[in-house]
Amino acid sequence: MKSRTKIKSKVAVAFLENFPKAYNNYTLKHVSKQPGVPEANLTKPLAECKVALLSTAGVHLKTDIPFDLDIQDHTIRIVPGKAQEEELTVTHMYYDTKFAKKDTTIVFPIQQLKELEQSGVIGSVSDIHIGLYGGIMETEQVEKESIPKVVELFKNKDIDVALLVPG
Amino acid sequence: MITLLPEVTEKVGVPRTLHVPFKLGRPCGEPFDFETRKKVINQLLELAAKPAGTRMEYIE
Repeated sequence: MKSRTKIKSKVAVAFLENFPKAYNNYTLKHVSKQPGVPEANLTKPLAECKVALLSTAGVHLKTDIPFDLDIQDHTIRIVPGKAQEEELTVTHMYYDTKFAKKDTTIVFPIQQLKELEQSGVIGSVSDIHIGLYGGIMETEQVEKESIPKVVELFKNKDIDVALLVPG
Repeated sequence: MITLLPEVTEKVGVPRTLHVPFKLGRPCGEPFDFETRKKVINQLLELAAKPAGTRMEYIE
């Protein structure tokens, strides 16, 4: 990470921790208003559903290429369902990652999903999950490339439920 | 979707949101608080079965 990015990250984290309301208003300004909501509803019981996680908290495998914080990195990371908690980490600059690095389940609760699969609450945990870096102001590439890729992956894997977790 | 900033997710048009009272960067609670983690996931799954447009508040 470039030193300029490091300073930017420290300022952003201090800003959100000390002025959460102002941070919310700042974020709100960068979001375009979308009309309506997508009408996708579950057609079968949860006990028969395949469930996947999608996190924008910058989650990825430790062995994977981290998100590049010096650019608006819109690329996706695939997290295998068999990944263990200790194999995961986070790369992000707009929230304090020290907590998520101690315990990644606070942004990526895959272990809890596996327990629910064991107890039969959900049908199964997907064998792929998605990590994204949500610290992006220009969303064009995310909408053009990343989202269609994720939708295709999830459709090919017959995912019934995607749980979205921010950072 | 879990939301920490409900005004933002409302504007984006997310079909279902669970508003949690936690800090940014900790959407499923504090590190190693697995009881809270379970509650969040259970409430998210409960939300998934509800119609598009549902807004839920996290229940302790």
